[in-house]
Amino acid sequence: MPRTAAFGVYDGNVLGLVERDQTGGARQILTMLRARAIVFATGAIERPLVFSNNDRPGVMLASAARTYFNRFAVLPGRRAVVATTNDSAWRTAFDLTVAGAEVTVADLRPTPAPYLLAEAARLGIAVHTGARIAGLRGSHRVRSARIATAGGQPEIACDLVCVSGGWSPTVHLTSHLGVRPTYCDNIDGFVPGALPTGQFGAGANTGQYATAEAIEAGQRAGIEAAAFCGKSGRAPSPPKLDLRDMVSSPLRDPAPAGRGKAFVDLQMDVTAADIALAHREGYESVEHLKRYTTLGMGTDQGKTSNFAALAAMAALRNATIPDTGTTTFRPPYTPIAIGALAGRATGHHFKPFRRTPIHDWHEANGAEMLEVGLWMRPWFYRASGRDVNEAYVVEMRMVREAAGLMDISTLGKIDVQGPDAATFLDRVYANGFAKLPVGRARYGVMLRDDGIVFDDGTTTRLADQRFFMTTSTARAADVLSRLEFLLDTAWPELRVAVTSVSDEWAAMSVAGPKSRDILATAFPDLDVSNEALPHMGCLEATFEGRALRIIRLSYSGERAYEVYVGTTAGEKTWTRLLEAGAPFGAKPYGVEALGALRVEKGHVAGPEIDGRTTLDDLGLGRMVGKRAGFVGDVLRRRPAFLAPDRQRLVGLECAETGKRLRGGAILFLPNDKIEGHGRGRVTSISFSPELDRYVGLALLAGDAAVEGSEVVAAYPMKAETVRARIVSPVFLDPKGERLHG
Amino acid sequence: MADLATPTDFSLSVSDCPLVQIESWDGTLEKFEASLSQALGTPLPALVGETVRHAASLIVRVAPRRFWLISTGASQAPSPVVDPEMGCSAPSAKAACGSR
Repeated sequence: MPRTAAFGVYDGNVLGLVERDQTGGARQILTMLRARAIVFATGAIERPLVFSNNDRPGVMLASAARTYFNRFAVLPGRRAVVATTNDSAWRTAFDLTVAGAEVTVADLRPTPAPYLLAEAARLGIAVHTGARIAGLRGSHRVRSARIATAGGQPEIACDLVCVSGGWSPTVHLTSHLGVRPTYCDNIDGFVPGALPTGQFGAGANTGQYATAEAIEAGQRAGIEAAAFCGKSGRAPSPPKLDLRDMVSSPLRDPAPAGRGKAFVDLQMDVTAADIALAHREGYESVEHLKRYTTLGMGTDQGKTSNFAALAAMAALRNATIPDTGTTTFRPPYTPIAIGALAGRATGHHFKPFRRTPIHDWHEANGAEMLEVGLWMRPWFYRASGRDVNEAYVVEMRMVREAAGLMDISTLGKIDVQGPDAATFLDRVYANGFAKLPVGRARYGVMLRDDGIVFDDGTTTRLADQRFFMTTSTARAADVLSRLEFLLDTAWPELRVAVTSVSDEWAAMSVAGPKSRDILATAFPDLDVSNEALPHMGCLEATFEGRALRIIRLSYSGERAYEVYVGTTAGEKTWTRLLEAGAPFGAKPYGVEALGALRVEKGHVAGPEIDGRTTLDDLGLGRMVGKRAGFVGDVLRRRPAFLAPDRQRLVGLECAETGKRLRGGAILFLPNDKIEGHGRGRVTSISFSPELDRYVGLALLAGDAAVEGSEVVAAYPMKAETVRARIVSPVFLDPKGERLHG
Repeated sequence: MADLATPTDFSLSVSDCPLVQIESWDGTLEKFEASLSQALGTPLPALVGETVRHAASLIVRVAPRRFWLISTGASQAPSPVVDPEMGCSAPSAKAACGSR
């Protein structure tokens, strides 16, 4: 794969690869590759030197100058000073000289290797040993370099300064899965720690800087990796190389002196003085140093600056580099376009599917399944209609006129128990639960600390100290985390245990005027009469040896029961209820009809509880009354939340024959210009078979929300506008007569 | 290590795994542990993540104050009575997954 970089290593030997395409196709292409074995031959990155005015144009890494010349045929300067602490930059000096530049080498080491000095002499290169750059002159580009030597500080005219402070092995990829780099004295740098089985390192990445040494190590690692993958056979011997190799014998550059800023991180403008200040302020840990100075937060993520900063801090602390520490490396190693990561929707990637205990039945009986979060839920049943628009209306009619069965196993279910359970619920819900009688259920709304509605659901009191809470499907995990967080931090004195029992129960809703008859037929031993099981009542029993819990609750606005049963008895209970319901005209219905039924009834759900709305916005403020002391109580009374023009829940009826409302439409007053964000938006819509027109819920500015008046719903995506009448959000049975009796 | 690159030999089975979760309140752990240990007739796992096998059940300490009693043979896990002043118990039925 040419032009491709590995940017991350993940569990299971998965590599993230990004290909930078230059053929006019996609700019970047993402590949997730699962490897049996990995050989890390990631090389090393040259370190710059830190000295006064080292940010002047004309200063570059010695390896960069060689790349300009050898790869792009560009001579970056005609009079060059090569300042180095190691052998590798000498190659730059030789290459530049051969290309016609006048070169001076300043090597910090007092006695560089004789063969380097001999080659320099042959090429006519001026050499200063035990020398370093004391400062530069030139503002818009470098004009001269002052070299500090034992014998003085000669000023050398130049237009290019090539620097090399040694090399840092590229340990990023090997660190992504938690292998900490270890400090290696002989190269004055970090190399990968012990790699897991199936991963191998070779070359400069492991501190083997000499070319011949790296080639041998690469071949060895390749053979080991192949053997790990089960490959056998004879591999050719590595070539015998006599490259007169240049091996780094490192010498640490001392702290810079002199006037002018000495940059450690050229991207984030972090200087040696900034690091000294961090040290004086007590930010000695590498992690604190980063955050105090922003070191390493540029696009190179500290690749060229980390080691120099570590060395500076170690010197200030009079500590060693390993004692000073190293930073954590995280993917991506190299910048990646968001577009490459997002890609287009193909398949399901790494997303798991969650299936309800009744999933197989749905698939075998004509359900069109829909992804709802991670869950697969029946969208509609093909027996109800040719497409979703036809089917959901049929399924709605069935529930309103007879009964329907809905798989609601996806609801979050939480066991809450303990001597202080009622007090706890009183605090987490905006409405009260302490006085809820045993055997009764109540609808509850939770707020966030900032007064915004967090989630809603019902909670049933099973015993004096035990409650059964349900949450919305989407927020099941969030609610449990929230409850645990509050118990751990806000009220540790409360004796309450919260446990997710979501997977323990299969759940189904039987809704419609015939629902009680169906239950009585399915469970003839149970008394499900209105007296024994009134609206918001609860009944516990067993079915086929498994716990059975029936709670009379309604989401659709019809008389309805939620039937909970041990997971493995879920499908059996479902089919029992369907058989019992068949003579009454009951069939299963999907989430499209469920959503439409709740719109008719004016129940809010995810589109309305969208992380921006308050209890008052949703018309639920009266549930709270004068209660106080619950989560979100104080901030829900902020003046901004009580402003008269704040958007609040309204109902909308389509006022034009032959037209429809659309979810997401923007609302305007009739005389408003149709542009901008308008006065509100349509959150949910449905065709109402009962009213024979489209109805919807909307959030509309309070000063515009006058019942009986009209608004214009604009849907720019389809260039549609339609007039809609503002009405109560409860379109059906406002007195709730269908629920009782 | 499972060979994740070629999952052809992989099969997954799911079955009921009756378990009881028992939890003590903050501040009552010592008394709770003594009481539970006596009721079960075996020392409890001392550290989070440790498991003690006893008769036909496993006792797992899943959190500092939380234990799971998992039945390995009988259909029901043991369900000791817990004094509500010291803690609580909740029967559960996590699905057990086995891979091969």
